[in-house]
Amino acid sequence: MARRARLDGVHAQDVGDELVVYDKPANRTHRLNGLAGLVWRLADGQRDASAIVAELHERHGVVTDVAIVELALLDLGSAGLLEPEADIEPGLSRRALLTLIGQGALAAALLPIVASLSANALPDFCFTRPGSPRQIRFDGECAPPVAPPPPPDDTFVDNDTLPE
Amino acid sequence: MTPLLHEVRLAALDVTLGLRLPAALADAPRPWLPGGVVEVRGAEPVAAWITLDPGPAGEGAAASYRLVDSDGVLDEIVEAGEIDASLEWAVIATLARRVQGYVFLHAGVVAWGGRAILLPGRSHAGKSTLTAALVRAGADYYSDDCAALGPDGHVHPISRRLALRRPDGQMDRVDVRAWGARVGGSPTPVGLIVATRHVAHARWQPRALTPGEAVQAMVEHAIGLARQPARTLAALAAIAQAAPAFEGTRGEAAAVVEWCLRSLGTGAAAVALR
Repeated sequence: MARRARLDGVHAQDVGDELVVYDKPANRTHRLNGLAGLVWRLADGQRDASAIVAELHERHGVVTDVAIVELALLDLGSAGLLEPEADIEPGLSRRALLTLIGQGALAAALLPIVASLSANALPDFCFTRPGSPRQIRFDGECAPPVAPPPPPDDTFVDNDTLPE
Repeated sequence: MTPLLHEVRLAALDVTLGLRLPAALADAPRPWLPGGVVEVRGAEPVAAWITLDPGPAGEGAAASYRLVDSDGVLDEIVEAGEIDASLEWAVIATLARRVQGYVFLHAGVVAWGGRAILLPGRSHAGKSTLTAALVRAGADYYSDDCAALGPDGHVHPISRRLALRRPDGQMDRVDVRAWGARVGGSPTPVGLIVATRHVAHARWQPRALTPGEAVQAMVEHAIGLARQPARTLAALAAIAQAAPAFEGTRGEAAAVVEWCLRSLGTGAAAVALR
């Protein structure tokens, strides 16, 4: 089954061997290792896992197998980085794939990694005016007042330098 | 709008802002003017206007002012005693929102030996405390709250007065020059990224981040990510590939200060400060 990378609302940035993808609608970032990044870019809706394996080997010199690519596609799909497919056939579970990979010749070090985090606590950065509990978002909406947490224990206080 | 407001033009990075102030503030010293922001003359178009309006009572009788901007984002009632801090905040917040070629990061910044230490973190993570400790150890102060990252991968000097929290929870605004410390005045390449937050009694055992992890750690604190995602990611990627990055929880700031300066390869003793 050929899957397609989701590109709508998504911004990808190469960072060395890794790929950081910002999903704006979901306000999440995903960090893909080299293999996962390549699989994502090769998922064009035409190539199935076998074709991606071949392309990885011929064009990128990466030796891998179908189970590993399917694992990458599974994780990319879970992260919301692939277009949803209405008629997708259920494949092997993640556990089954890992078992299959563990029985294969390739080392675990070649596993794809998709690490996801929320981009930030609010859709866009908020500034808190000194002395005010209100946070202001740049899109003009105001978040409800948030009480600040208690100050850290090692709050820096130097009475010698406090202004007169 | 009160007709007696004076107009002031401010320029920083690639933005010109306009300020409309009561006469007494327009003519007075400006402790609220952030570092790296200069007043300019002329009738150059401004990106946004910030207005501090005393209202119909007039500035002589006003106990509070209304602080608004032309974009409809700011609309605050500011007490007379909060003017300096609020103006300083409004200028930086509007700059961060209006810059085109720069990315603002919620982070403390100091410089040592010509390289910047970037301390990304949320509010109340202890950035100001750690920044102050590094300045006390002899680093040049850039900011305890916002880092302005340029297209050249350098941190550009945009700073507010260091905000130190008293035991009673009130904030003091400190000009670090009163300590004998220096305020950074030129763009500086990033030499170290340290993402940390204070946890009581925590031991500083930093974990090295891959460049991709460093970008993820910084993205969380990027201002305007949704507004300009491509530029933000590119700027963070450039920095993450140029400077080592670490994360961890910390207890006392002293351990982190020593580690930071050692990591930058200086290990110099602290400069004696007043």
